[in-house]
Amino acid sequence: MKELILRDIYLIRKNLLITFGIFVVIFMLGLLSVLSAKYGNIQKYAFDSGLINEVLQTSAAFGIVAGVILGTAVEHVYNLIKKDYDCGWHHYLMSSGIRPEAIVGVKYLMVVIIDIICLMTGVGGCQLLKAIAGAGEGLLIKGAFANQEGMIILVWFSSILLIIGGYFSALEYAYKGKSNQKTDIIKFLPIMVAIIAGMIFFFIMEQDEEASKRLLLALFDKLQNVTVLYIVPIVTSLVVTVICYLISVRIVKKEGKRV
Amino acid sequence: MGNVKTYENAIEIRNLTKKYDGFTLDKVSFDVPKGSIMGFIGQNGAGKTTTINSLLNIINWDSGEIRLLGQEMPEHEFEVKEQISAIFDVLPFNDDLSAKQLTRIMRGIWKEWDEDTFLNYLERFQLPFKKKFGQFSKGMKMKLQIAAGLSHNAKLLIMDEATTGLDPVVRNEILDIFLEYLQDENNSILMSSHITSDLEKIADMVTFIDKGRILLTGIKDEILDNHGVVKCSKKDFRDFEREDYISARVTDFGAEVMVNDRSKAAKKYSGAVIDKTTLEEIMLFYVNRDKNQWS
Repeated sequence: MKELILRDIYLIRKNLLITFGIFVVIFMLGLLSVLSAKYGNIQKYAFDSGLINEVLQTSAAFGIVAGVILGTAVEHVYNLIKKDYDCGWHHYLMSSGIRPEAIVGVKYLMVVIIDIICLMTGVGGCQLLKAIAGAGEGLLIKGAFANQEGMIILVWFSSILLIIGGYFSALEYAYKGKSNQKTDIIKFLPIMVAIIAGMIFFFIMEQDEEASKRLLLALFDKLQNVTVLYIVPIVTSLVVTVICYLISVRIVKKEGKRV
Repeated sequence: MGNVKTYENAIEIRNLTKKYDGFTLDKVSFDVPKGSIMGFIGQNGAGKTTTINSLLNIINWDSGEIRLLGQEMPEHEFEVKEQISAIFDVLPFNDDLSAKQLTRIMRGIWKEWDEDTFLNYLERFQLPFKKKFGQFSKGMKMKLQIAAGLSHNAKLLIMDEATTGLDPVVRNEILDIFLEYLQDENNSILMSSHITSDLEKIADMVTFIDKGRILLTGIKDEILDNHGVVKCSKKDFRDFEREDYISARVTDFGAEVMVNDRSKAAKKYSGAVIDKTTLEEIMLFYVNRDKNQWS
């Protein structure tokens, strides 16, 4: 199985490097801003300390943005499923002694491994920028977990990406890499529904400021524990990934029964 | 359950049936004896690839029995597939890979992967080791696939239109490799193609398939000896009884009538000149067998 993983790495390493390059560029922008605000020209020439704090806070967020972009590297893996069908590699493996569990498992393992590596790299970058910038109020997360804001956001984002990766991979196997309008709709419909639901929710909240403040405070109270912030997204994403893997194996085993 | 070492036929198919919308592989049965090359002939859409995919259990068939190397399929699928090499009409290895990377990958796919054999074939075929496959010509890609297919001690080669689109020089080179492969009597080849001239050169047995049904299967030389084409006038063609011929190509200039028993036809239609035929002609006449005459 490790040779199959090696094959996938050979094929996506260029794309991974490009994504990592983008991560480095955004991270460096954040780092330079933070260093300037702490020790450089912004520190020297800013009119007031409030502005410096704002720059420090915002610059630390570059770490989150960089980590989020790095996390999208999982798409290179499920895009490879389509290429495997197109070039005949999937067909070749099915004619060999490799079991469908391994054929499919390689892709899911790659998605998980890349997701974890990107998460750890993103969190590392975030924490480094935060450490240089100094502790302060988070942009989105207040209270006891404010200084873990970057890590929390990236854990949630990585978990969502893992779920999306598993779901998209299962769809690629279901449609044997042949995408068309129908498959694109099925792919993006849940995401669009989630975004629209979110927008409707925020629109409703904006109609009653007091009620929305109470709701958000109650929400933040609920979120002030490790289980909700870390364990729930990680476990959920892993469970969904396993389910998508099992569905994909079943699909591949039954190939040829459908026209 | 058959013992791998004592089987007579590398492939045994009995009443293989697979239904799709608009196409049915209908009770396909034939054998490929150990140590032989079977030419599997049919026009496009006849069912060759469906049969091969069923053999390899890439698609699930509806009914029938398949034995590969003496082992029943799909019960012994994975142990049998270790000894089979499937070669397709397009290179299944991504264009961004090189032979150097491929040999590392193949170690994880085939238990008996022999890197030295692979490298020897690369040298013999003059294939570059570090160049990406996207820069290979079609002939080079096929040679690469064959090199990979012959480098893990496979006892059975299954080829699906592997020589299609290759120039005669490359095809000849590849056919010579297959003849070498068969020097070991334990090795066998099933080769599907519609290039009948290749099969006439190297096949021991042939099987014709058309619209999902087997029309003919047997020893190639016997099939060629038994079949013949009677060239006669349209007037003389009217004397032929329907059960005596497969089909007839009738033009303004005369008739060509395909018979499947030359000696019987020679006795019954004395005076008729019965020419030898080719696999291509046999395929053409059998494909049109439902018509009394065609042109």
